[in-house]
Amino acid sequence: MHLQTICRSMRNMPSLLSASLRGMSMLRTITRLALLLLLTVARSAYAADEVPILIRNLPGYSLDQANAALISAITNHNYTFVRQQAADARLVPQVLEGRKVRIVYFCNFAKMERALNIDVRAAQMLPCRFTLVEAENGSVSLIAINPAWLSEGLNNPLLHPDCLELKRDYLSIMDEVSL
Amino acid sequence: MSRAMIATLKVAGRLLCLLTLSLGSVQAAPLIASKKTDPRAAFDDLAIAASNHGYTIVKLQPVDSAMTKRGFDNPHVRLFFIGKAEAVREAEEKAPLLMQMLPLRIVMILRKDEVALMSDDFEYWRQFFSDTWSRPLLKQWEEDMRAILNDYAGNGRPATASP
Repeated sequence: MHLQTICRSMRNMPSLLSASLRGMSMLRTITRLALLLLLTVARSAYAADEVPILIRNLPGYSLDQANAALISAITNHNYTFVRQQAADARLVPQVLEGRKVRIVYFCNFAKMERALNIDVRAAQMLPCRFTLVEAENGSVSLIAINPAWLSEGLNNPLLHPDCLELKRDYLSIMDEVSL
Repeated sequence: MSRAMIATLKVAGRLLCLLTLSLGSVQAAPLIASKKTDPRAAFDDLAIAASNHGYTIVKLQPVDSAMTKRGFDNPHVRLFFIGKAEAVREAEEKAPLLMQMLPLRIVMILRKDEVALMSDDFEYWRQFFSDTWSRPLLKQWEEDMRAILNDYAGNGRPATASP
């Protein structure tokens, strides 16, 4: 009798296994939906109040001095300097390039990898960038797009904490340059 | 970060993108054009498309090879920057803060046999830079970008595909 029960169970194994797999798949789906719900709720937890542009005036600096201080601060914050260029680089002959605006690109590869893994639209913030602008009166400003503001537009709560961290890094670099 | 965690983040990120898009809660969206091609041909088509509208590719940033060379995951992403001198001059004169968008960025996303191009989100920028000078500039750049991506989708010739 006991043997018969075991045999019957054995015969039912494939369907039991299949039901179990279906159950696991359903569990996975439920987990994903729960995660989505949680993330949607989390999304509303951060207010959309970021300013688009971060600006710091650099009194007493020439454009070249500000540029040198900026590259040093970038390196000090564990970022890699990528390149610098005029706003119209490669659009006009080099001798005619504007000298009042300098774009400085930099990045941190680990942060870049993480951001792109979360959301490929993070590429809209890459590479990191500061712009140095010299006004007519000679005063220099350091300007950047606020990554947290861009992130609000992307609406991805998984990405947002990374963008807030990036913003903090930007501000810290700006602080170091202005000091 | 472990590979399992990265994979989880990827899945969650994609699902979330889908959810936010389906809810219609995304404030705006970048322009996107995609077609079946290889990266080299895509670059050529993009260069022609940009040139059709007075733009030049000023920089290619091969993020994919830069990352893999340093031992990171391949994000299958390359960045292109396109510009034209006139746009720079106009922004400098009329809306200096918009210089932050120049040169215009195009993200190239490499898939198996498909190459997608994605612009920055001009509509999102317009929501915040709505003054008399900024708005027309952003509108113009968006139209230029749309035309470039349309051309790209049509192999460098003006096409009807809408990004």
